[in-house]
Amino acid sequence: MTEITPVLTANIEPGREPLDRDGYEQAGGYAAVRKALGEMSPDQLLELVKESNLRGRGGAGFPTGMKWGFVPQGPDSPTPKYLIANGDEMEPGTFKDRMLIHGDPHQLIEGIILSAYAVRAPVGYIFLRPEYQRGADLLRHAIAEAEAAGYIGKNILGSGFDFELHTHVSAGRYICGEETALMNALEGRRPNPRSRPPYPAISGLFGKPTIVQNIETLSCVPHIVNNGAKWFRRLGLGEDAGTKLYCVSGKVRRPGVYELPIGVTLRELVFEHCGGMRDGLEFKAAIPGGAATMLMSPEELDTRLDFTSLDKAKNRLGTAGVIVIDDRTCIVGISLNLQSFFARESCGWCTPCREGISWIVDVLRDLEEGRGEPGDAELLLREMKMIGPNAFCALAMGAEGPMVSALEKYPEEFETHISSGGCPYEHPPALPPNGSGEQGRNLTPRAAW
Amino acid sequence: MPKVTIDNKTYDVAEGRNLLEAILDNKLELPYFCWHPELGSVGSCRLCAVKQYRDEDDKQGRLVTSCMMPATDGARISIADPEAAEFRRSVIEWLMINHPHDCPVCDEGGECHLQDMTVMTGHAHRRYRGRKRTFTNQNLGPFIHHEMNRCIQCYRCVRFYREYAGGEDLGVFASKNHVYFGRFEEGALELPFAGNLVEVCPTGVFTDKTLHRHFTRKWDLQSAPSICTHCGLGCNTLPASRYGTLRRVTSRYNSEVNGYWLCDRGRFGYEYVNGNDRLLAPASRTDDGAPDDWETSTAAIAGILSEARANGTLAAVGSPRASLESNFVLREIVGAERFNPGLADEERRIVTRFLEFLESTSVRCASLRDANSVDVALVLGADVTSEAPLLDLAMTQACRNAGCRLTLTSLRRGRLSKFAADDLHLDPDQAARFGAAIVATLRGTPEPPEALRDSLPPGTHDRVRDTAAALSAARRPLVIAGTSARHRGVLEAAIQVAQALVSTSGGSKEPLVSLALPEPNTLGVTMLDAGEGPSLENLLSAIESGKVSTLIVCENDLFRRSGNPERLANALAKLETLIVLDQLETSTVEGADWTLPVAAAAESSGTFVSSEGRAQRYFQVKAAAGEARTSWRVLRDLLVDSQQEGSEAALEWTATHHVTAALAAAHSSLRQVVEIAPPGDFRLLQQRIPRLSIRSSGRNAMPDMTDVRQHVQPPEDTDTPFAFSMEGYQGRGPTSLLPRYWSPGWNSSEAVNRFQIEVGGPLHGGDPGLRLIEPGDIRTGSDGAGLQTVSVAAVPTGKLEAVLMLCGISEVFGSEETSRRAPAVAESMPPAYMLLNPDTAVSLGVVEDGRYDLRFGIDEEMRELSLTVRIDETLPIHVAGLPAGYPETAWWQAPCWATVEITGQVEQREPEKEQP
Ligand SMILES: Cc1cc2nc3c(=O)[nH]c(=O)nc-3n(C[C@H](O)[C@H](O)[C@H](O)COP(=O)(O)O)c2cc1C
Ligand code: SF4
Ligand code: SF4
Ligand code: SF4
Ligand code: FES
Repeated sequence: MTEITPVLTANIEPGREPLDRDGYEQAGGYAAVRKALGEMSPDQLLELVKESNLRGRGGAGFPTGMKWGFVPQGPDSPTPKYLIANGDEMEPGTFKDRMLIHGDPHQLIEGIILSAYAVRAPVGYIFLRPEYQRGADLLRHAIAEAEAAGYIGKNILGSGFDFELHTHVSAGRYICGEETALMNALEGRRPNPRSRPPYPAISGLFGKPTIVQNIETLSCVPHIVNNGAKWFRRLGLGEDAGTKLYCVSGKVRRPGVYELPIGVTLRELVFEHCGGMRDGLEFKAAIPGGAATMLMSPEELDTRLDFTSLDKAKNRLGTAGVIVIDDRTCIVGISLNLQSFFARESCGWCTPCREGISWIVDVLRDLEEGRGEPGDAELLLREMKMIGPNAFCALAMGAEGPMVSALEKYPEEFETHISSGGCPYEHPPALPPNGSGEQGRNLTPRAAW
Repeated sequence: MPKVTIDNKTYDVAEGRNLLEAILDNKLELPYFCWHPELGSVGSCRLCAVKQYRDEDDKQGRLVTSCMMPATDGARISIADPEAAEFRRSVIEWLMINHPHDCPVCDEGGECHLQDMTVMTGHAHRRYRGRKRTFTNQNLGPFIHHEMNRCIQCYRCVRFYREYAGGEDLGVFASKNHVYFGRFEEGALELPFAGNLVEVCPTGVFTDKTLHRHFTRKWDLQSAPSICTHCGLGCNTLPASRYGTLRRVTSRYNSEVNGYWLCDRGRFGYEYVNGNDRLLAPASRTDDGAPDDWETSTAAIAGILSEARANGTLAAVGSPRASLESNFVLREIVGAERFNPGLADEERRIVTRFLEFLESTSVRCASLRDANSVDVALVLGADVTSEAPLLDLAMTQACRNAGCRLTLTSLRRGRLSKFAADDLHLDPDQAARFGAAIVATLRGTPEPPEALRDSLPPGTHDRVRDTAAALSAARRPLVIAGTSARHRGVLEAAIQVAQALVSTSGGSKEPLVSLALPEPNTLGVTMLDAGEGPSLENLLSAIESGKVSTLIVCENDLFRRSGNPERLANALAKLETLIVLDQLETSTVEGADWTLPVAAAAESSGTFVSSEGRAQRYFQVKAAAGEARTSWRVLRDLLVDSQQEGSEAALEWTATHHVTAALAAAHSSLRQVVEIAPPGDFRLLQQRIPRLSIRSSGRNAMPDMTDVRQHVQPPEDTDTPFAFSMEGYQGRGPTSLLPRYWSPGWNSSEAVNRFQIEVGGPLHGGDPGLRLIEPGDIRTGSDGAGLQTVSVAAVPTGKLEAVLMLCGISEVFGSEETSRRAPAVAESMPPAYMLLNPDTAVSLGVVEDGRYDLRFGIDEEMRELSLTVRIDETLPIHVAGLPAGYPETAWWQAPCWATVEITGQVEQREPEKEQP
């Protein structure tokens, strides 16, 4: 079993309040801000992050340093620039940002200050889903502490860099996590995504250059500054860099959040760290990165869970919210569940997603309830392939992944739903109890989080 | 010029177009919903998908939404690609999942863009098996019908309403496949341009409620190009009729004037034409038992006229709402020195001054298109929204897109205020004073702050400075004045500002002016009159002294022109003979000895000159109501029969264009009006242009189960090249003769894109109409030295508590004469009121919505009436606002000081219900 010294979760102790500023500083916190603002120019910091090969943890895996490089700089460039921390986290099966926000708010704030410095953004926003109200309180408190210590405010640590940071709790929709819809929401508009180009790095919030970064991505930055790019790159097991928070749900013995070197295999994650399936259950499938990625079959257990390997497997790491599906769970039922989510969360802007996905839901419900007709599987496949790539934003593409992979990898389940006049599975499935409390670094959040 | 390859053929494309525009510009077919030339591309419907290829070697390509992709040089796309076609068909199938397919009962049916696009994509079979979503509809007031189930979520309605027009009370609610387009709660739409939703919405969600009450399909409508008569802007319209009633008005595209739009007054004001108060037959008061038909009336009146002319007691009043032709013939009957153009005297002075100015300046009179893109605008003493509605929409675009810096001076806060950098609430005197101060600043001799303190609110000095600075820095500044304030000083100030901008910039700047005029031919009749006729005041005196005893009034209600109804009524009663030609019962008609019913604009043909100075022709759409005839024909008969000297020429006037030619020959300022459209005998392949579509159900469809004979013969028509028929020339005539927009496969108003050179631009063959007054080349020279100075009426000093300045408040719905007789507009009119600042209300001891007996004292005269008090905190405290153009307040004309007394309360306001 791969061992790891925790990086992002080093200060997180389930069941304990997060470290306050003193505690965080004692644990080595804000050293990176002192170092970067004291010794490095924004461009040097940007270069460092580029070198570290940090890729975005919010789903798309876009190289972070490269994105920062798109921000126009120089005396004639538009001002102010904005930095947004994306804490919308509504992806099904994903609960890692929640851990970082509630468990170590100062680490996030430090990452934000550093990133804002690198792109010369004087204003930052932390955008949170409404359920993270306690997180917002913790963050506001931590921001006040950071301000009091001069890490946020005018002329931070004498560097000449000014920065203010605000927390915004959204009204809550999945689409608010999509960066352009997020900016509309933040501006007080309907959260419909915007068309690209222009990209947010050129014209984003209030029409100004804007960098949107996932909570986990930002939390990595202080460690890169402290330990260097090479260190960060070496943390990964495959081609990607850093550690990764994997969220595992489903009928494994120990579901929860695991910080592991990026690139562990699905098999290691499920069968070693999570203790395998519950007694009497078989592994049937897993979705590696939240609802919006493709189903992985047992043959794919040895695939590394990182951006590069999953891209090669025509899949995506997504949010690394691994949803494990057992043999007593119906793939059609899972699909209905997921597609109902996407249909419900469609913002209603574009035709394929708004109308198409609810049609998909309708057909899936017919299959589940015994009204399926021959040709339905083909219909689902054809429609979904037309919807996914041709919608306005990536939400519909997210819906396409699990649906098309379910149809392609588990065709027999759809056939039996048609031939046997409904769902052959038990509803609800009789499931064995959860496993024992064996130790692992399982950081399942407390109920209060 | 970029070249784009579409399905292996190369096309030229204008700079800056997107792929969809490139396709439509080249008259190729590609379906679309959400894109609109004025609303832009948003990429939401996905219907306009095409295949795009990287280069010649790329055989795979990828689907792109063409409205979102720039048409760059060398772009290669395919419309026909099977995958693209399949995808577009799917988009329609998806949209049909929840669409109710209720075309047979949908008012949009037959002119529905959704129907057209469905056919265009080839979608024919819906595989969805589930239930459809249903919505609850809203009552959106008298103009617009709402049927949300038909929505295809293209977002055009809210993009027009909110983003384009700046409305606030229509929005999009909820999400996923439940997005709802409507109001937060049921109620009349507030935007005075809401009617455009009918055309902007590609489906039957928003339809014309007035049409609904007398519904007919588009293909059965009989139409001809016309001009809106409900203000002076001259928006181009397509009124449409069936079985003798006018059914609706839609906008007729003109890129220089109204573009795609109309205001609600223009769109829904038409119903007066169908009204019960139409005059239907000639009538005389002389009860001699003789039948009042046209022949006997004409003969009798002609006799009266020749006698009166011989005695020198004949005079006539023309009208700014009658055609040039009618006014011209009337003027021929009585002679220039006995013809009053029919404007209130102050208004006539204002318009005459404006014309004089335009003819002697390098300042251009702004078209609506010009106004769309100005960078600085100053509005002096006008409420643009109600006086010239579409100019408001144009200013909204200037503010939204061109970053126009707007200074407003009107009585109170209005629709444009939210865009204004400076929004001053001034009485007309003050607005003129403000303008004068700007002129002084522009000329480098700013007045000291103290100089303004007496007459203007505190802080105005800064507003003067800022506005003047913005105007001097502007690239294309526009100065707008109004006439409804009835204050010459306001126009004078506007003229001087424009003139100062020319002279101080050494002629490098090209400032624009605009004067909001209330009626369709105010400028035209003033040009015809050329200041030669008597004033209304002189005319009244002449009547009172017996010098004039026979008066012909053409399409004019004099009670709207005179500020003294008693005096006017007495004078009219003193006349031996009053002859009135009009469409509707009016106070003037009431006193007439002879009433002659005449055709409304939609029932006749003629020429109007808009406030831009654009001469435009309108054509008869339907037969006139009852026995009504076109005014100029009635007048011609009178001219000929009364044997006016030189009237032989009039014998030859058998068609409108004969009269047009005669007036063009007689008035050099109007010489070009013959050029604006082909004459009535114009034919294409020896054929007329049909007013009915080729799909018309035919004249006899309604009664043909009982009788197939044709009972109602179509009217004889020498005036227009149009036929009252579906037969005739089926090709495209000149743009001034487009009776409808239709092209194979394009049955909705979107068909206009087939008629434009480039979509959203001018029409093929040029936009109709001709500007009669273009700026002169006098770039330098005249620096305004010869201009009159601003005349500011004296402000009474030591004014009493209850002495208030009476000012007319112009209402979008209610102030205009004919539209207020249309039921839907009447429903939208506020009842007559007195508007006060809350402080003034307190000092008068009145409360909002209370109805009071009031006594107004102007000079020595007293005037009593009861009005409801309304409150507006932005109104200056020294002003009492009375609605302009209301019969209740017709006793008073121009701003003036008056004592206002409360003599009683009519009814107690409902006590407010206690909140539980
Ligand atoms: C439908 C949808 C929902 C998303 N939700 C989130 C989210 O909750 N949190 C997040 O960080 N990124 C989310 N994203 C991705 C963001 O658009 C964006 O790519 C990301 O915040 C960039 O940060 P990163 O580069 O650090 O990953 C979502 C994307 C889509 C299409
Ligand atoms: S794909 Fe879905 S979420 Fe994205 S814009 Fe279209 S409707 Fe909205
Ligand atoms: S109501 Fe009409 S314009 Fe508005 S979104 Fe629906 S179809 Fe489009
Ligand atoms: S703006 Fe004037 S001319 Fe245009 S539609 Fe309205 S009333 Fe008619
Ligand atoms: S017209 Fe292009 S996406 Fe709607």
